[in-house]
Amino acid sequence: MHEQEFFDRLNHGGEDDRRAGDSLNEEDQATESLLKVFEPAASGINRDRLMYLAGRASALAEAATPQPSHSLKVGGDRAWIWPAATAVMSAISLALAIALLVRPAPSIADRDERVQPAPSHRQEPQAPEAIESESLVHDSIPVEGNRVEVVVHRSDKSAPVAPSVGASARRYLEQRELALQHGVDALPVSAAPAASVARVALPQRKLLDELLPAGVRETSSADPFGEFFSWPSLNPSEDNL
Amino acid sequence: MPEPVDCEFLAKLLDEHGAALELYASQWTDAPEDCVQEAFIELARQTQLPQNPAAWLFRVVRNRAISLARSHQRRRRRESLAARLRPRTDAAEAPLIDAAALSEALETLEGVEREALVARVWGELSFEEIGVVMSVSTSSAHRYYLAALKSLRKQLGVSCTSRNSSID
Repeated sequence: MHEQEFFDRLNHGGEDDRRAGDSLNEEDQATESLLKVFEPAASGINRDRLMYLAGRASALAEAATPQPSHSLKVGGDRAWIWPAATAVMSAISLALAIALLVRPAPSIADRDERVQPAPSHRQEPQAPEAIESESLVHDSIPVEGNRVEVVVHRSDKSAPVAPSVGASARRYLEQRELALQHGVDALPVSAAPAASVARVALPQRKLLDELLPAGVRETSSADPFGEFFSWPSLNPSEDNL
Repeated sequence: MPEPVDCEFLAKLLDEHGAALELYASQWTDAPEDCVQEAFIELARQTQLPQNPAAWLFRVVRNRAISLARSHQRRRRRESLAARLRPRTDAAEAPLIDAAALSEALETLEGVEREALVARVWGELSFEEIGVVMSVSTSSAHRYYLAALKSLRKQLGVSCTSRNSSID
């Protein structure tokens, strides 16, 4: 019998008990009185020992009963936060694990893209091919003697060089990898860093011919000043700086 | 709202029902003190006081006594009951029967009848409490009790007339 049923019967059976008590006839009541002349003998239980054992059992039972912790009492209304956070984090972890499993293996092209450097505003040295494709601005700089140097600046407003930028950047990265792995000495000679300013010495005679009018240019070919001074050597190898 | 069991309440229960509980347990076992003591300790373990502690104790004592009797495979109810019944010291008159005769008459009763009689007369339980303790209905407890009284009258040779005449 369950305890609840036990107590329900005790609570609702009083009327039945009164009816049963009233149903005792005289004979039964007399016999009952005869028996009640007797009483049970005094209990043989050691009272002090029983009280000690009962107190000990009560303390042990109270200690074994799980008590709600202080934190749960304080955060009773917010007790759902930690379970919810745990559930969310578990779901995220599961989703990431599934994504990692389902994700296709990276291709070679993806790996190359990963090697590409991040775009930066810093001017990086370019290969000579890239410089050739850029528009050049020629400035004449007078130097000592009768020599004229033409300084070729790389224009910032140069035309887009997109087709060659990818190849040059890739070549630069390859050279950088080579330098990092084997040192600077392993770099090819042609890969020497290109100067931002390229100096190209042009023959003075050619420059003068461009500046002089056509008639004068014809006469100049006869070298009208030849008798006064001699022209410097036109060998480009000697003029290169 | 039930309350935890405290020591004073346990002592009061022991004073009021200890002897009757031992008598009740002695129907099945010759070590009723152990059963009663274990029942009180079990009551102390309860975090909430039962709504009817006396009936709860009788039920626990009954279960333990039956279990103990089964494990020991011995019953000595006759000696036990005879030793545990004595005339009231505050009785106005001497009893018409002696305790040994009463114990012998109790032995002749059916188990459920004797149990209902002991619980009602000396345990002072109501019929619904007896029914709950014995796991029977209230009417069944009442019926067992009436049958026990009838059997005792027959065994002891007492009647309402003789009782009334002795009183008169």
